[in-house]
Formats: sequence, structure tokens, C-alpha cells
Amino acid sequence: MENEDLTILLIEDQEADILLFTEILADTSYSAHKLKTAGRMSQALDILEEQRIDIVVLDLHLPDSRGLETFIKITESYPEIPAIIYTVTDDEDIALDAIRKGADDYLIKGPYLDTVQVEKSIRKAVETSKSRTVMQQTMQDLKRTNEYLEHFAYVASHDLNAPLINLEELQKIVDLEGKPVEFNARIFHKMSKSIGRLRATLNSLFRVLEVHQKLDDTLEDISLEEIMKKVMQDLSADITALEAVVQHDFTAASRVKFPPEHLYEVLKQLVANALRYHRKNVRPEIMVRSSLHESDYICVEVEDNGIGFGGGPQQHRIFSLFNRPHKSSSGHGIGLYTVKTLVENQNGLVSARNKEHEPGSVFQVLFNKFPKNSQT
Amino acid sequence: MKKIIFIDDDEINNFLLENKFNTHLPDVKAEFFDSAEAGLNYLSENGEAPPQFIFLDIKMPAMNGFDFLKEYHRRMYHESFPTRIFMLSSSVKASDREKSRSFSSVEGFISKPLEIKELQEIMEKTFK
Repeated sequence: MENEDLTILLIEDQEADILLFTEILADTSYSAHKLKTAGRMSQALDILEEQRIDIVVLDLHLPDSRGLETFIKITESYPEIPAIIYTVTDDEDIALDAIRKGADDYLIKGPYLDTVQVEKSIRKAVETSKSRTVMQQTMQDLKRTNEYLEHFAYVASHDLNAPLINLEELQKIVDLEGKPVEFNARIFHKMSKSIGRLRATLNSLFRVLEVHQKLDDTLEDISLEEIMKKVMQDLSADITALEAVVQHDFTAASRVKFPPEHLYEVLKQLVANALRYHRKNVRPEIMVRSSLHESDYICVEVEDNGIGFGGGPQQHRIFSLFNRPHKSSSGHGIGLYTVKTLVENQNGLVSARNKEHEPGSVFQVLFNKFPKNSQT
Repeated sequence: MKKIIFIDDDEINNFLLENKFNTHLPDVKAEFFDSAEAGLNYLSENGEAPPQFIFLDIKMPAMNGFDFLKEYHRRMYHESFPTRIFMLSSSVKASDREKSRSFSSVEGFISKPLEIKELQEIMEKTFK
């Protein structure tokens, strides 16, 4: 049987009970040398704070905590850690209460406690906890996908509906006999414009679907520098045409865990976006910089000196599908939506702000150091 | 003179409406603005003679219809103007309707296209 490297925390103040558990554990497939013990609640909470514990085995009667409350104190702070109650026969009622409140199992101290019981109990608790984590992640994914789909359906229906209504109305007023040629020519011109809009919207939708289909690509530990090089190559025509200066600095954090193609897409969209919204007659200056953000994220910021985007109410809309910040914008409102989708899919975050004292905006991507696929 | 303003970034939609007014309601003065900002500018310049009706699109770049309404209320136009506002949108989202209802100045939600018959009914109710 495989030897599983679990760190177990035994919360127990009686020497004899600690000894009993340690001896039995030594005979199971779980290694006893990774067992931690705590005689008091305060000590247990310190250990849980400091290090990763896979499973807690606890006596309910401690010098500084008594009864069901002992279990509740642990489980409120660490709901994700499986817990097994370690108790005496007299307290079986309280142990049952703890089970009702979410404890995974209980073990009765004494001569009848054996290897099989302990092995089974730990195994079951760990497995339940694993599947709980997977289920939570799946639920979260489903919820997000559902929200995307709903939003997608809404936006698609609106953006297809509007030009189609126009076409229907235009068709009603075409009158080849009764109206002058110029009038009819105008109508035909507007009809072809509406058809163009329908086609553009559909093409955009196809692109969004393509991105969604690519969503579960495999994670790799990739160099930002390497991807950035590719982005620069592919945007070189635009960069040259605008005489833009695009620089980058990845010294603070050089690698992220992300599907490589997605990282390429994210960086490309952000740089392309920064180029697209440049100010007239101002040479675009774009800086891409990485940094460490709190303990869980690697931050990549793309800063430009362009026209920025309307502040206030628009701020939260800038990443939505088919949103165009400016009436004259040439974009279709998919680029930033794609960035948001790809980053959030790996439990990351995106945001944008206008610079305070000068023109330009900063787009920030927080890459999760522990992306979704690496956790399960 | 009856005055109606339309605020919609969809230039074809505005053209179609203009054509309808010329054909069926030549005595009504309809004006068209292609952004919420342009509509608000018009209102601040014409505070003496506000329009009887505003037909307002929801989905527009930069300021959308709801942003327009917030600004309209912030300027207290909903108390000082006799104007009646109708949303005119191709949105199929129920929450857009609900959100429109939350503004006291909004009287109704009309799905595009706006039919002349519908418009005549609304106007008859007001000018009866």
C-alpha cells in the first residue's frame, strides 16, 4: 500500500491517549512521524496558523476548551480541513452532535480502537474532503460558465436584433416605383450597412466561441519574456506604423503558471488595446511590467499614454462583451472580454484605471500563483 | 408645436424614425441625438422649452441610457420638466425593463421598432 504523506494534527491533552493513537497510526499506511500534537486549544490554533495540516483528530475536552465548542472553534476557522473526533464512550452523544455539525467521523478511545478503524476513518475523511474541494471548484466553474453564457446570449441577441430590426424597417420603405431613385439608393446603402453590422457581430461571436472552446488548455510554467517577444513580433506592423515605443520589465517576476496560448492572447490583447487607443499625434509609449502582488498573485501591468477610457460608470463595463468605450472606436469589444475570461478562468483578476495626473490608462492582470488546474 | 426628442446612437434607426415622422406626423417636431451627452446638452440649453417626450435607447457607447437617466435626475429635470420619458430599445433583457421602472421619470418601455400607431396612442393620451 502506498505510504501517504499526510500531516495529522492530534489535539489531545492526555499522554496515554496520545500514545494509543500514535501506536495505532504507526501500523496504518499513514506515517506516524508526521504527526503533530497539541495539548491545548491555543496551541492547536497556533499550529494550524503556521503550517499546512491535512487532517485534525481532536479530543473535545481540553484544559482551555470543553465539549462541542472545541470542534466548532476549529471548524469555523478551518472548514476545509477534515476533522475526526477522538472521544470516550461516555461522550458519544457529543460526538454525534459534532458529526451533525460537520465532523467527518469519530473514534472511541480504549482497548477496542484498532488499526482498521483508524485507517478507514482517516481515509474516508481525506477522500470526502478532496471530493468536497473538487465539488466546490466545479460549482464555482459552473456558476461562472453559466453567467458567461447568460451574458453572451443577452449581448448576442441584442446586437443581432438591432441591425435586423433596421433591415426589416428599411425593407418596408423601399418603393421602387413611388419614390425617387436617390431615396431608394440611400435605403439600399443603409441596408448594406446593416448587413455589414450583422456580419461583423456574427464574426465576433464566432471568435468568442473559439476562445471559450480553448479554455481548458494545460497549465505550464512559462516565461513572460518569451511570450512578450512573440506578441511584439506579431504586432510589429502596428508598432512600426504608429512609431510606438513598447517596453517591458519582468525582473520582479519573470514566470507565471498559465496556458501558454492564453498568456499570449492576454498580453497581445492588452498591448493591441494600448496601441489602438492612442492619442492623435502623440507617439504611443507602452510599458509592460511585472511585480509580486500580495502572496498569491503575480501582477502584470500594461501602462499607456493614450486616450484612456471614460471614468465613472464605464469603469466596470470596459471588460464586458461588445462594449465599446468610444463612439468612434474601431474595436468590436471582444479583446478585453477575452482577457477577462481567460484570466478569471485561472482564478485571476483583471482591472483597469485611468492615470490620475496625465493622459493614459493602466490595465492590471493578477495571475493566480495557484491557478485552478493546479489545485485539484 | 409638439416636440419629441430621440436619443440613440443607431443612425439608421434615427433615419427610419425621421422618415416616419415626415410621412405620418408632419406637425410634430422630432429631433435626434446620437449620444446621451448630446441629449443632455440640448436639455440644458432648452430648459425654457423642454420637449414633451424623450425616447431613450439603453445600449450606447460611453454614457448609456441609464447613465443619462441618473444625470437627468441629478439635475432635477424630473421635477422641473413636464417631459415624459420612454425607453426605446432592442434589449430583450428583463432586468433592463425592471431597471427602467426604478426611475420615476420613465413611463414605459417600448421594444424597437417604434410603430407610428403606438406613438399616436401615447400622444393622444397626453394631449387629450
